[in-house]
Amino acid sequence: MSNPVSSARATQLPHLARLAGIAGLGALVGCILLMLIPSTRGSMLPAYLVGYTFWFGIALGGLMLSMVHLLTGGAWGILVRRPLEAASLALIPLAILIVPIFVGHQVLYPWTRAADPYLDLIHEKTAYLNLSGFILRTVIFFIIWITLAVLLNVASIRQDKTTSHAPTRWLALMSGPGLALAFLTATFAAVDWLMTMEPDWYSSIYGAMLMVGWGLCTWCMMVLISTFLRDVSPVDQVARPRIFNDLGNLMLAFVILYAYTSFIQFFIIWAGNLTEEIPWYLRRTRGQWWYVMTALIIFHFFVPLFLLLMRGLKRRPERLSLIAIGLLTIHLVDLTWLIVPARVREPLSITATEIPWFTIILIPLAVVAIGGICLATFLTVLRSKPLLPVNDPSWDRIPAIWHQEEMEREFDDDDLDLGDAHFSPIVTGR
Amino acid sequence: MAQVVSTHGHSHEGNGHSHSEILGGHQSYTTVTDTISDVVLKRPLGKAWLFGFAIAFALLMMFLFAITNLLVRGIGIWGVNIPVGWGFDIVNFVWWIGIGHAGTLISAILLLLKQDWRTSINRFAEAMTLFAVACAGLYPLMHMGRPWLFYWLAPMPNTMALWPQFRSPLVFDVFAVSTYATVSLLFWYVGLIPDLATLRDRATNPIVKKLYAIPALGWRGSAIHWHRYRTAYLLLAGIATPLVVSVHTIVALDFTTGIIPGWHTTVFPPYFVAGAIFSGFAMVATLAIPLRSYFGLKDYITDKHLDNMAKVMLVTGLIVTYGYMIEGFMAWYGANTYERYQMLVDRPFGAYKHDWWLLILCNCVMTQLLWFKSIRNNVILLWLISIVINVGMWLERYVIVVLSLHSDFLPSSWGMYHGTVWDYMTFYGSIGLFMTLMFLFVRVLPAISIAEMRELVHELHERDEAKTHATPPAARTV
Repeated sequence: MSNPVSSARATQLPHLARLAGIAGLGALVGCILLMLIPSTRGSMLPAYLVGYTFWFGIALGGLMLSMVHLLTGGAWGILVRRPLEAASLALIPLAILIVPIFVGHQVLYPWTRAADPYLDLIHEKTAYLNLSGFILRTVIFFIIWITLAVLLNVASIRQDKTTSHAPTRWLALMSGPGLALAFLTATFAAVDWLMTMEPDWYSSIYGAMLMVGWGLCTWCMMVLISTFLRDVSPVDQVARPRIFNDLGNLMLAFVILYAYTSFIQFFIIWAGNLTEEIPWYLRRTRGQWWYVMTALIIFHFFVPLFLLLMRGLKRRPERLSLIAIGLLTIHLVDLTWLIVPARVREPLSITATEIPWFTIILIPLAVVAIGGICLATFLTVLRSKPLLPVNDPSWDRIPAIWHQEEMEREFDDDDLDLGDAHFSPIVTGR
Repeated sequence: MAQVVSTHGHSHEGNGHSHSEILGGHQSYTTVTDTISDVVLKRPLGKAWLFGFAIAFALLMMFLFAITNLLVRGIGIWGVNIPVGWGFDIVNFVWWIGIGHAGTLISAILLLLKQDWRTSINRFAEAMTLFAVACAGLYPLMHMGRPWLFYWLAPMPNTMALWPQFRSPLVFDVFAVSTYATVSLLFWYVGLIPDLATLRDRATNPIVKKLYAIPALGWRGSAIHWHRYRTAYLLLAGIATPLVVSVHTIVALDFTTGIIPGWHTTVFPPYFVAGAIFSGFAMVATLAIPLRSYFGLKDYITDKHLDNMAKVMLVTGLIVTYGYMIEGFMAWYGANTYERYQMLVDRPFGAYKHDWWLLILCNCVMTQLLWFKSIRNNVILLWLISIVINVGMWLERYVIVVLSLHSDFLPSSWGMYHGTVWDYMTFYGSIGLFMTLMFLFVRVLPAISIAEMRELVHELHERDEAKTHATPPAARTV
């Protein structure tokens, strides 16, 4: 199965990569300046963390979902494996972009402050909550993730050059333990970077919940890039309505799963109503945040749920892309809701009911800064390799899709109506 | 009519199943129908079947005896006490209901995911679900002490204006489990209709013919029958899918909404669901391995099926292990004295430490063997591992239910719990009920769906056609 990789649209990629890189670097300079000014530091750092978490999720999602495809197979993988692999390499710039969070630790993580009212509550967990451990863990996590991402990309290229499936078999062998390791490390990354902002609060589903959200964003991004490249040869051979339908179903599954994990966490904490747990929700459900929470319930669950149940929407890439953009936006709001209310001065406080609008305004800047650099990496990597994994074993699944399309087209040509009318003679003849 | 699919000398690498993997031998519509229906219609009662059935039936009689004694004398005959008010009854309820989940997962979710390897195992996995739910449902009834008043759980208007507490997951359970039982029964029955018609048509004894004809509902296999059948089946699959998650989520909420140390943790629902699938697949493997060898169904339940089931067990086993790990970590990180004592001291080093370590050995350590293909492909080893997992998952529920209750907040109210002989008789007796139903099922109904196997033969043939004839869209003239 050898396909010539050349196209007009693909040549736009370096131009876009350059544009994203310039925008990202420019915005990053802005972010760093705002972090240096003492009066804006407190607003910039949470905004930066929101942007960072958002893009980090997509890069990590690229890594984890590539490994999922290697283990399960499936036609969808042919279309999105290369974008997923390229996304995973964005973990390299992200490993550097985390430095501002380390530097600004005192703003974000109260347990790093010398005199803080939280300290009384957390003196029993200093074995985990200490700055050197925090940095060391993050460094180890990134070494693991980047190693996995590089192995994935290198072996995938090797597979392109041979019809023997040895490189893919090797990758599949690596993906089982790799996925388990990534799941475990990502859980603790979520705990370290986000949960410890409120060091007295804890929830054991938190890491899994964050990962599901990241997975959802990754699927959305894959829909966007596949829609962009769908007319490019050879992507057009696999960018078929049925595969977009599969991607839409995967988005739907993650929308439901995210609502499930979020609701379960809420329900258990609500029912328990314990002083160490419930303030986390009180901070996020009172005052102006109540509107944000309501919007999340509607637009992060109900609206996408019903839209993604419609096959007609899932089979049209442009419409599915609109849903994907909507979901990415609302997930950014969700991350904001998770991260920004954490910045309260008093422990167990429920007073943070006002939305800090200056922080909110800075979030797009952070999203552009980190996103620009990640996208530049992503597009550059994507361009450097064939757009499809040409010798991947999952190609086996593709002819069946072409065949089904052919059959459908034949039926269309004959004006054969398979609806109720077709059966009505049998019904009346009974 | 007889469409023969050659399955020899044809093997692909990679993820797409080749025929020889999920359907062995030269199979046609005729061979599929003959092999599966002959088990029911022609095969004489074997000695092994009679022997197994006798044991199962004896256990069932023991169950009857234990329940009778319970109804006469009350739940005082059990080991439950204060503080451990939930004992074997709740442990067994959760264990059985969990086992049922694999059937629903295989029949509904794998159908929607278009996993063709589900076809040969879905029928008896669904039967397993039904029988497991039947066993599970008995326990909360017995647990109530006065089971004849069970209808008080239903929200019905009454002169005392007494209503169940709708905020309580125990009430959710009533709805979840009864919905689950209803949908599972419907799903299983709807799937059976075409096969019942096949048996009706092939039966020679007029009484047997009549017995199959009544539930076959006059099925003639017309296009309109099939059209409606497919629609109903897909709709039921869609309805059953959330039930895989909801039932065990609510079982998990039964525990988590209590703020007892070791129960109140947010990761419970997802890892309970994974644990349910884990134990369910273990039970499917425990049943499928002897079934296929005794009735000569190795061409239908192939080594590939066993391999896939083992992989599902590995994945769900890892999720369960992750759950244990993260709840242990959060107990420490939460820095709550009671939570830390329960999870990090009492469970691994307390009075029940042997149960806890055995649970870790069964669920976390033994499962790691399934990483190796050679072990997954060794039928005997796989069968033994599946039994070990069943034991491990029972122990998991025992550890969760009993240990958290036996040592909660006040040391003055700590106590010990041990099942009495009646607890054990009821537990083994319910296994007797389950096995008796299973033994009867494989004799009177087709254990593998004949209609769906015929469809699989057709689909594999079509897929071969597609591989040789389909062309990429770019090369076509539209």
